[in-house]
Amino acid sequence: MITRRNLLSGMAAAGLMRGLPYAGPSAVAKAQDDWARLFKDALADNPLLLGWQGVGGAPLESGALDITGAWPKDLSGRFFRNGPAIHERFGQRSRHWFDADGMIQEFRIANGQVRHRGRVIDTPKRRQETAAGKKLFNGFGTHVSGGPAVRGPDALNTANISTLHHGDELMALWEAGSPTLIDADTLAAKGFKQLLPDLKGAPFTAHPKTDPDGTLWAFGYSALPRPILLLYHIGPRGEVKSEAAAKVDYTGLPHDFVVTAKHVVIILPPLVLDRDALQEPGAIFLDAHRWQPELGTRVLIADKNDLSKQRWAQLPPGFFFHHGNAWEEADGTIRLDLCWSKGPDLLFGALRNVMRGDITPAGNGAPHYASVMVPPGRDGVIEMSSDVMEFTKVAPNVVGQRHDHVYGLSAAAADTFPFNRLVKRNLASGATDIYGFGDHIIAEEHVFVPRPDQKAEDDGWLIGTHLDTQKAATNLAVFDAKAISDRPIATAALPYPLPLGFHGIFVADD
Amino acid sequence: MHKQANAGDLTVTLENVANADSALLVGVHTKSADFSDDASRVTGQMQAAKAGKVTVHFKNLPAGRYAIALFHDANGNGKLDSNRLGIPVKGIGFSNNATGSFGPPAFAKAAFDVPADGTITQSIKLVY
Repeated sequence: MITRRNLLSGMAAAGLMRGLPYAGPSAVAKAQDDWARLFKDALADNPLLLGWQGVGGAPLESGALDITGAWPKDLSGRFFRNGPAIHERFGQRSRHWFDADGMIQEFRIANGQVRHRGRVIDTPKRRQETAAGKKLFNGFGTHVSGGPAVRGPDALNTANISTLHHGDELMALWEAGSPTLIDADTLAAKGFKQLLPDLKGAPFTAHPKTDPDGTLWAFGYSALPRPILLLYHIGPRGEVKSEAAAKVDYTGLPHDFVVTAKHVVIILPPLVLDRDALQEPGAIFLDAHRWQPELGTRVLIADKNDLSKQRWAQLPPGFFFHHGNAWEEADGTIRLDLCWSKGPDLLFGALRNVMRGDITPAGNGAPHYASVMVPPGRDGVIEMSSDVMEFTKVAPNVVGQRHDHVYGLSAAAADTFPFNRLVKRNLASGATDIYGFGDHIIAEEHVFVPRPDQKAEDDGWLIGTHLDTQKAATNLAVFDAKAISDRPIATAALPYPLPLGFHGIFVADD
Repeated sequence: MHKQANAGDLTVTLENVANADSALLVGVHTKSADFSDDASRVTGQMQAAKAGKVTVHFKNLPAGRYAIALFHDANGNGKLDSNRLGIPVKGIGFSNNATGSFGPPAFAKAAFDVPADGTITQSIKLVY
């Protein structure tokens, strides 16, 4: 549906794409106080917005959830999710989906029963704001004036993107600062994990990759005060075995990456921070970025055995959040999955607009499944499919190895935001197996959980949440990965809605 | 020193000094609020550090617009050391307690006027 307001916001986003200066401080101030009201009014007309209403911050706890179907008895463990959850605080509403304080959602699955708990992640940033009784810190797309000096990214760390369980530690991840340690029993935040002894606040991606032997690969980027890209090799017990820096002129907001058996591959979209623009009064971090397609997309390929052995390759300009998996052919050609968009409209448009109650089209940010090939010593080639795909996942045992399937979310039309379909893609044939949740439902990431006796790559379940906006409740569904279109094997219904989040992990019981 | 015409005094009160390690380096600037901007710095003082509050006096500053950039040079190397991310690892402070966005604040945010006569005081809280 195109309303006048949608059209105007689309035009505003298009203006940003052309590198026009962001709205001046007076325009920002004028728009500032009414987002909460705009959202509330819009929610009355469009139940889909329930997903972005946010929660107040009280712990959530359910009893045993009502289950439809038969929950697999051999699927037992904890499914954790994370995402921005406290969209309004002290009467102020965040100006971008990415900006709210995070919340850990835990689904404890045992003996065919499911229970839910949710806890806000009480970061130093949140605690300072609680003590002050007001918002103090800028977000990714939100300007807050009058806050204290910021020393390093962890002052702004909302720990709101994903979770990691590694080396017997549960962590909530952001992507520009340290992991936040989470008490696995109480779900309470325990403070930052300092990854490198000599570097407080070393940035850590929200999407580390675990090799089948338990080795963890990660990177971190920091755009301020100067562009930095660090690569980490972490042992199974959480110890950093090696690290290296890559020489970069800009970081381009790389949200995800991939590993092959031999290499770490980090892909930088041409979205460049204009640091001078950040010095303007009322400047917003996101809006100080400039889309510079003439730079193309840069691909860093680093040797797992020596992360300082690096080479760069080029791809055409594009924007992307999530990757899938990567592997190498015998001649060293790297092949990888990418959720590829022609530009960053989604980031500047729909993901911001939804916070004031506008569900707007993905524009040039509509993500499509794409396969990338980078031959040794040469630039890469990208082949974009016509299939919408995001929140891609693969079976854990194929990470870095040749794989046959990718799982993810999709939508009925390329331009549609948000997603309401679950997809399994066969990479050899391009065939897709799709389950449609329905127009009143918003689907979230589904994670592949192998069966205890996994033989085939798709021998497992897909587990994930979806928000039923008619019932105003979130459900946890489990699918047989071999037959997605058959509908979920079982669904556990929460008695309340959860804020739409980003990423989950499944931690099997020992 | 004789009192000059069209010159005022500046008293800078530094709060939240973490410890007595080495010295505080306090620069008075006319163009930026950047410690490392030598061209902008018109005068500066080194004052022994002590935990809590430290006061620094600048006498006879020509009337005009200034900004103060200071840091706690705890290891006494005279440099504002940064970590690999480029983030200073020493306590810092600016006039008006102005804050920058991952860098020194703009001159305009930290700027204050020294009058043609009399004394002006700046209270600056160090941030570590």
